Amino acid sequence: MRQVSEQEVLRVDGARKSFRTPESGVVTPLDGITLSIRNNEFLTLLGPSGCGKTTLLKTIAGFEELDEGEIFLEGRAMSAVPAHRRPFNTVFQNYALFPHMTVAGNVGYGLQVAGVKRAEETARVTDVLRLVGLSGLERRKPAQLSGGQQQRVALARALINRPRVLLLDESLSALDRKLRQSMQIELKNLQNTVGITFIFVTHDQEEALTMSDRIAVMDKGRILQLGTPAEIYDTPKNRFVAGFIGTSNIFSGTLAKDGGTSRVDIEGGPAIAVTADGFASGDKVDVMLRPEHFALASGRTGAGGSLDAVIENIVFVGTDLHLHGRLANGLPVVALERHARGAGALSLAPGQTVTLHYQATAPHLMKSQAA
Amino acid sequence: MSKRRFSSGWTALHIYGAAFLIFLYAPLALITVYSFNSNALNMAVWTGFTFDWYRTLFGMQPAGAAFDAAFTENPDRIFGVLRNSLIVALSASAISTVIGTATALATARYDFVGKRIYQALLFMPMIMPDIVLGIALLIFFVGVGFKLSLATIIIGHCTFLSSYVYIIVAARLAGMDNTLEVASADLGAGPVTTFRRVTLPLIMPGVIGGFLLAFIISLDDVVITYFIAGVDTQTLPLFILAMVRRGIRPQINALAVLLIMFSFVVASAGLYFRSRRN
Repeated sequence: MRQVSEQEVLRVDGARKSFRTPESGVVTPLDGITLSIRNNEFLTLLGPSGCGKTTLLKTIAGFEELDEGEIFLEGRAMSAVPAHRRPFNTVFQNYALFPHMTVAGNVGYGLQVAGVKRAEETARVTDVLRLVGLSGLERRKPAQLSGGQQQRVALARALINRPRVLLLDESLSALDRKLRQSMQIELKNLQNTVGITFIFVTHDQEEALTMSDRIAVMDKGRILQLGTPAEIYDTPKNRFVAGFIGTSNIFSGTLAKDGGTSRVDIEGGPAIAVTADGFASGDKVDVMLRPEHFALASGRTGAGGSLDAVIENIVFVGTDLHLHGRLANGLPVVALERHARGAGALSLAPGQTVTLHYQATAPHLMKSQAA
Repeated sequence: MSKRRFSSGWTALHIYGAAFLIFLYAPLALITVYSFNSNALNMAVWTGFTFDWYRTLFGMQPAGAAFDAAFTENPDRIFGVLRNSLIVALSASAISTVIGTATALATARYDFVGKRIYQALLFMPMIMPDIVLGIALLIFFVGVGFKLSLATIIIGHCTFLSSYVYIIVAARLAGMDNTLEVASADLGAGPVTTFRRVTLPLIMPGVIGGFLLAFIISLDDVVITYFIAGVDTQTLPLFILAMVRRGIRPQINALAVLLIMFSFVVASAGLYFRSRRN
């Protein structure tokens, strides 16, 4: 089994890059990024398009230069090392397979360029094609392969050089959902087998959650939060991260501490009972409640609170029911109910007022960004 | 859907199509037939089949009395002229292919000040009237003291052939995925290896197509060559022009047929290379 060690393999230090575009003035895809990547970990750079994640990947690969800052591989500065001398390999978003070469030619390219002997090349190509499940397709041209197969060729081509770090640029987004999910699992298994550090770029939060050891959430050229999927999901640092990962209800308000209890007064609406360590009374805060934190029944033990909402829509997704409703002050709210066959679903209907119960430990407080 | 509704328009289209092909190819067919006609005085009257015109073209003595004593062209001259033409066409198209390809690569891969103007200027030699280009080149060569020779013809041809090659290779490059070169670098290949193993093979159909087009254009250029060929250098088209001035002789028909066949082979090769890699 793969061991993620604390040992640092790659370090991005104060990376900054900006350029001028004819339309919108100066764009800053990297605005002071510092990031330490551990040996053998699966790190995901997650963010909306234009957040700088692909630029960061390209500067690590050496396709683009930094204006400021440095990238260190095991302590060695990389800025003077051109892309073709860096021990990193990339799986491109569009795979970038050489159309004039066969599968074996594509996969063996890195070895040929490095001057590896013919016999060894053939053996290693055979090995790596078996690893990605493409044995027997050596003589095919890329155009004769399906999207999933092309993706595997791209992966095999990048892996055969045994890179220190494998860079994956939105490499799964071109595949359909089912294929993507099976490739996600295969990629994880593969990483366990080969033991290489993976840096994965995606805008798909679900993909990031399922695959990563750690996620770096990026926006506007900065890393907003770096942590394990659970940390990012449970304790997002701000409204942006909370909204980007998973579904969430986020309310803005003012914290009021009253003896042992705390609550957040939502502007023009109800108060939410919270536990508020590290915040002072009167702080402007955002409160996040995940849909699964709400329960229609108040049967749970412990302190908590409730919100009354009018149901507007009920979406059935198999395992769950998504209840889309509105609070008295008009704010939208989403709650999630486990689908119990027959029972629960029948008693709910749009227009109905329900009470959504939550426990006091459920609401997550974040410093308001409005200021 | 009744057939009748279409019939009149359909027939007209058929006639038009046939007329179009006849208009294009009847003169070529006629020349081919004439080139085998033994009648030396009036080629429009068929007197019998002969290879004589081809034989005299290649310097072999004709068998029959059909040989026109008035035919005074020296076969050695024809070969000399043909050699000139091939030297010019091969050198000019080879040089133009290198220049045109390099230019296409530069404009496709790099941004530089004045790039748009530069690209627009590359079209100029193609849209400029040949006669203007010919005179301009003549004035230039004389002005800088170049003796008119095969070399000046080659240089002159390069000025406009480079544009043709540029346009064909640039079109090919536009259809090529830039990330392929990035991928090659990513896999450890330096710039030279990347060019040799990835870029060049992918644009090769365009390069070969450009070369063949340049070759054919150079081979039959009359107007520009006329100005920049010296008094003692002649290319095949100039030679034919000079021959025709003294009356159309049957040998010209034979020569024309050979040229048609040659062009056909070159054009076929070009089309074959274009289709093969797509």
